[in-house]
Amino acid sequence: MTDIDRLLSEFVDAWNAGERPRVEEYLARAPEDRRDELADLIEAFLDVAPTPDYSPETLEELMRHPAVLASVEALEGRSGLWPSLLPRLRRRARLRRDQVVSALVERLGIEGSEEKTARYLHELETGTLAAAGVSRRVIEALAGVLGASAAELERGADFRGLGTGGAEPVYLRAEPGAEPREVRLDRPGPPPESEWDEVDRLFLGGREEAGR
Amino acid sequence: MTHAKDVPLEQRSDDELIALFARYRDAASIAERKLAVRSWHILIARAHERIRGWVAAFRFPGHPDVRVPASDIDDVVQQALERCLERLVESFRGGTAAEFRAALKTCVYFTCMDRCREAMRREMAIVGSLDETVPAGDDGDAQGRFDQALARDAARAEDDRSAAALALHAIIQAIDDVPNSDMRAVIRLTMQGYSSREIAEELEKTVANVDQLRSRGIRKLREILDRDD
Repeated sequence: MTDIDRLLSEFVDAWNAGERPRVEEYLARAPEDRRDELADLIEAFLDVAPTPDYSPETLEELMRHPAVLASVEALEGRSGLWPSLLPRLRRRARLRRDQVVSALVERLGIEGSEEKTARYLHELETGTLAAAGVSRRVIEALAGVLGASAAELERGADFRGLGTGGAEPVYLRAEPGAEPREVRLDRPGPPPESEWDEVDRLFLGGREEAGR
Repeated sequence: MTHAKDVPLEQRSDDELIALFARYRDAASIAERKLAVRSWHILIARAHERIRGWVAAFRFPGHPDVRVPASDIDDVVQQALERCLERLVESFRGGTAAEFRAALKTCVYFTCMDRCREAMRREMAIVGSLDETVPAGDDGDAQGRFDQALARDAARAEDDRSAAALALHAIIQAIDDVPNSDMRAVIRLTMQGYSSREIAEELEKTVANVDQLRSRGIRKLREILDRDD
């Protein structure tokens, strides 16, 4: 019996028990010249393995995993894949949102509009703003800031989710002694087109910036 | 398939969730589409560890030293989930959990390929060895020829691991085709979720023996699935 037989079996047992074993930890324990063989075996097992019967706690943990939540936010939102794509690209570029906003504002030549730009970016990352409204100039500027391809961003914007995302929750201060409760209010809609400024046009006017 | 209406979604099987997703994703009512979103949520949560495992185990075809660095695994998993959304939300017509899994695998595989290809290109460009890696010729620049060489490797590997091979009936048939009866028994019990210790007790073997049969059985399963594809 080789080390990799035991390692594979340990992985399989942990998988079947719903323990979420980390492949890379098992690979690190294998002799270096057998690592690729173990990787191949684990991959083959994962191809056919049953889904573990996760405990309710583990399933809840998995459902709250950031990557899973981002996928769902994209599916239910109006911003294409951007609720997942933008934060991910931001993390890769090691940029905070305010840094992206500053760089974006500079590239677009809309200095002084940081607050509005930040709000629009927040709405795109949370799926509440239609990505179809975002101009090509913004897409290209974002791509430059994030070190991504404009084509990837545009394709992400074009993804059509199921549009079930609701209004963001707003919390009212409770009266003393009263039970706190959540009340959902529809957030104010975008300004009418006749009142758009340049920032509105960039984020609401579509790829070719309607109203320009 | 009928269910008591009060069975929570979290307790439904993957097959049932896939059916709900396919049925309600284009529904007119938001309430029904939310059901589709919820079904997707549970399916992807359950699939997350498998996807992560595939990414961590990935080796670039023809270049096994090229893989996703441990520090990038979670990022690539998220990118793969984006690809799954792009490719599957509108177009997935498969009905079973195994077919869904096969479709996920394809998305994961190509995401890993793209990421590794990108990293190789960057490394080659930095080292300045792109022209040395791919022979000079009249058919375009070194970058283009490099990409073509990688694409050929990828196509060969993908032919070997076609998604159809992962369909459940293929797996069941493949287990039946494993020639050694002990190996067959160990694989069947493994797929039913038994631990190596439990299998050893059931079959009156040592754990070491079960480990060995498991490894060989999984290798054999892979061979059979690749052969039958």
